[in-house]
Amino acid sequence: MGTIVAYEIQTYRGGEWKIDSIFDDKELATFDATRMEESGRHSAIRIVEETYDSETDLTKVRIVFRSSKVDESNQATEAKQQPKKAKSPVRPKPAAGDIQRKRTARPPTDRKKPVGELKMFWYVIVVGVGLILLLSFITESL
Amino acid sequence: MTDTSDTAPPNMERRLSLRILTYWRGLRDQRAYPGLSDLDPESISDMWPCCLVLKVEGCESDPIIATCGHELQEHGGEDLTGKPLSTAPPQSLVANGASFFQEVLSKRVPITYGDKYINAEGNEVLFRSAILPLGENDEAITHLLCAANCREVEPE
Repeated sequence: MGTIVAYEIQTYRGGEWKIDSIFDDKELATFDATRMEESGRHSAIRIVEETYDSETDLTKVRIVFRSSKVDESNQATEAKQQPKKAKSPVRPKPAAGDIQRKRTARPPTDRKKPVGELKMFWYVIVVGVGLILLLSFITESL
Repeated sequence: MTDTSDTAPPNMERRLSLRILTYWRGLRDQRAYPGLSDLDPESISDMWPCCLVLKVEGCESDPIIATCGHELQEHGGEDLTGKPLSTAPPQSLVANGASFFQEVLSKRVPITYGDKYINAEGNEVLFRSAILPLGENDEAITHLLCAANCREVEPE
């Protein structure tokens, strides 16, 4: 009997390819798929050619049409993603709101200064008290 | 001749199989297939004479011809309404145009097919038909809509 060729128009719906219709004629299937693509109602369309060989009982499958909308969409997505990838090591410029939020949230750069002054204050107190005690001890012993 | 392309407006798709498929898709919307009740013969008055509705619910192996357009009847020789499809003469457009209905029931999607046969007068006839599933819900196919037209090959 030889080979039987069928052309399946498939549309991408709900995360999978689904058969929309089947043709025995490639030209007719391509015309219809193009028309469907132009209608803009489908996110992606393709035509799968199925060739059945009755002698070997094998079916060969290949895609003979893919809606350009899919390719355009993929290219656009790729184009958008590529600059992002290149820029990713560089720190992105924050928005004005982010800057303000960081500035208000960030602690003052001289935050350690009061700690140093406090240490000095206690150092003076301890040394002063020590000197007073030493002087009073010397005075008493005399 | 049942080729309605001669009467189609200039900017209209000429091929019957594509026009009926477009109509079917419009009725279907987001469903798997439209129902029989969605069909409006008046809105497809240009195609309806070339249409055949087969009832398959309960008779999947030999559907009943529910309606048969008059142009199809002209190529079948008799009114086949209410009769099983198997009673259609093998040399008719009805029998040849609907010959692949089992594949539509199996695949559950419209199928368009073209071929040739020898009619009762011994002339070669080229035909193209489309069979489209109909069902009131997405589960069961209750009917099939078949649209077919043909052209006799001029003898040499």
